[in-house]
Amino acid sequence: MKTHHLLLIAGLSVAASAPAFAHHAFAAEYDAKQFITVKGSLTTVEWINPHAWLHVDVKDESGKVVNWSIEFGSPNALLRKGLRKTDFPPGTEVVVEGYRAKNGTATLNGRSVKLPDGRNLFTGGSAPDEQPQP
Amino acid sequence: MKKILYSSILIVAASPLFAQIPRTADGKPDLSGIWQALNTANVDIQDHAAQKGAPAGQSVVEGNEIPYQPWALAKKKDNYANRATLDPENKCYLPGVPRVTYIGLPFQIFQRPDLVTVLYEHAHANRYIYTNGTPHPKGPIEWWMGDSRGRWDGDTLVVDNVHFNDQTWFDHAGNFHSENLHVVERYSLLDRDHIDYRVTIEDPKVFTRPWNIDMVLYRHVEKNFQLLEYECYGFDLEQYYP
Amino acid sequence: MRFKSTLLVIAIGAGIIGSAFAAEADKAAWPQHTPDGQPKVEGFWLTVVYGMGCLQDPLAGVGCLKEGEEPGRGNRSRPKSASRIIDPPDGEIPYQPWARTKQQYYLSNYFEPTRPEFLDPQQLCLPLGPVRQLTWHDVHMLQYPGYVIFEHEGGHVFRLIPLDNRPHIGANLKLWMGDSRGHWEGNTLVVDVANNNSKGRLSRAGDFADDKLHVTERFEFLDADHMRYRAVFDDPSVYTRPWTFGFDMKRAIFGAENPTKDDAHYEQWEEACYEGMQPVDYSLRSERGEQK
Repeated sequence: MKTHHLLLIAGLSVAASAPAFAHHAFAAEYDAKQFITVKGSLTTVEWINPHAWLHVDVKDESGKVVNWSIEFGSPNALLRKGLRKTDFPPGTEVVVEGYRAKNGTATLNGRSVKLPDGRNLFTGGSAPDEQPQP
Repeated sequence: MKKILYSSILIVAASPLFAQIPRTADGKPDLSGIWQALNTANVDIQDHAAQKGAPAGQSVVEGNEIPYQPWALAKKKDNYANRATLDPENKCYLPGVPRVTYIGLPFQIFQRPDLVTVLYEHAHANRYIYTNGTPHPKGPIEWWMGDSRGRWDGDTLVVDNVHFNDQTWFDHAGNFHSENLHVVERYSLLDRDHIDYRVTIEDPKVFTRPWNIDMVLYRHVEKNFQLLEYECYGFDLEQYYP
Repeated sequence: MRFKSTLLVIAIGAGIIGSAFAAEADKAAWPQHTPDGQPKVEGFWLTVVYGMGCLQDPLAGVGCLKEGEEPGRGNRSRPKSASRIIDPPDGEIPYQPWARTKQQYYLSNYFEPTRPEFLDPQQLCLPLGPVRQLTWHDVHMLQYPGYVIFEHEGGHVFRLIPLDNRPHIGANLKLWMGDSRGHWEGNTLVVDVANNNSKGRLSRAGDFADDKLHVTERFEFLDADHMRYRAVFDDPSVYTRPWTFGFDMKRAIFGAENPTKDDAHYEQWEEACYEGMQPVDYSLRSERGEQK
């Protein structure tokens, strides 16, 4: 999660919103070697603790629509930036990048979400041991 | 005139509040200490007979009636029938407010002018009750334990709680709410060792009007009493460690 | 008349000089004190170096594995970060031979866990014990009369440290976060932690203690923003001698996009953990290495 940094009193000062830390077994659920992108429109958004979820309708190559579930970390980081679940109404077109679930289902551990207005949100998945950036 | 004056003084001096309650340096009743509810509201906040594993209890709901909307009453009955699997407490999830107060374990109140911190033995839940004049953060936000902002109204600590998710129950009997839940708690010392805990529940999505819960909280006065742990989530897992 | 105005001028002059001294004194007066006389250290604290995979080199990946070995985390090309094992001087935990074997056994099964005991407790949102919990996420240190409270961000785990020298609870009552008793020595908070169940392990690499563990901690506050932490681990059934776990901590300021030191608006918000956990089986592999 690169969006959020700490302000260190000792000198290095980088814009900070909240600490960014890893939670639990990432590698056991998602494949670190399968980093993919899906494009589609939002159906529902769950902004709950400890993991937020986006659900996105994605058309596959044959034109069939599959609903993907994308898991993120705590929604608190986004809440602190002033974002609310009402900022992501159903129908919003999104481009999402993340690691695919090892069990082959339409599930991602989300790493970023791009909105139609160009904003790119690093919403923070539960990624492997990451350190807060200095 | 003198008679009236003297009797007024007598009345004031005899009143329990004047004589008994501890106060902080800034003159507020001091709620600091370890407290616990002594009822079976966690099983069912309304009148209930004993059942396997749970004693009987009288209602802590004023009027013993929870004013559900018709659809919600049906859902409550369904919850009740399936409570053995559906109660989120079966999985040791955070219990929400006010259930955390009467879930059956002690909790400790720490009090300062700007912040009341409450630590609960149950699943090491904690609440910050900000008494520094700050507002709730802007919603919609969905937390298990909500957001708490308190102020003193005379000798009563009034705590306003919003920003709940819809995942918690009020008791094991399936009484539930939506994410629009609004809880107002009132803590008043009846005397040094008893708090009158009165709660107003409001949720226009589920109920037809606000309703109230009222109970007494008892101070632990045993020597060297302290909070321990109830790591319920770890009960099945701890066998694997260290 | 003149005498009175002279007095007035002197008084005003003294007032100006006096308040200038007072301002200087305020700036210099660290630490302030709480109403019950504790040095005021309240706020959010964080390890300077973050990492739980390898106590000897916290920035390295799990098990401090060398380049080319198991799937890596961390940056191999940077120099080694300071060991969290301050003593003994070789920077290694002085395990008894059976305990060293056990630690290596846990480590070797970390990446393809086939049984629950191979899952690190942190991955299951379990409390990590009084020392390790300080190394995961930040900690909100609060001070109330007669108490220091650690409210850890990770999984809302808390630790209560009474300062009144009451006895520990009974020795057979073991707790995830132990039983703490503290007192201040100058600007150092000294804490005695008994009753540890040690189930939180000490790192992702399988480092561990058992429930005989006794810890003596020193939180040495060096100035308003820096603290040096040392914890002596005493567990004669696991180690050949006591050893010292240590790291530096710094005050962390979180807030809006450009927080300043005076930003008092940051609040610790709810971080539920196990409410979102999958069942344990979901994290395990079958014996053939496939996910169950």
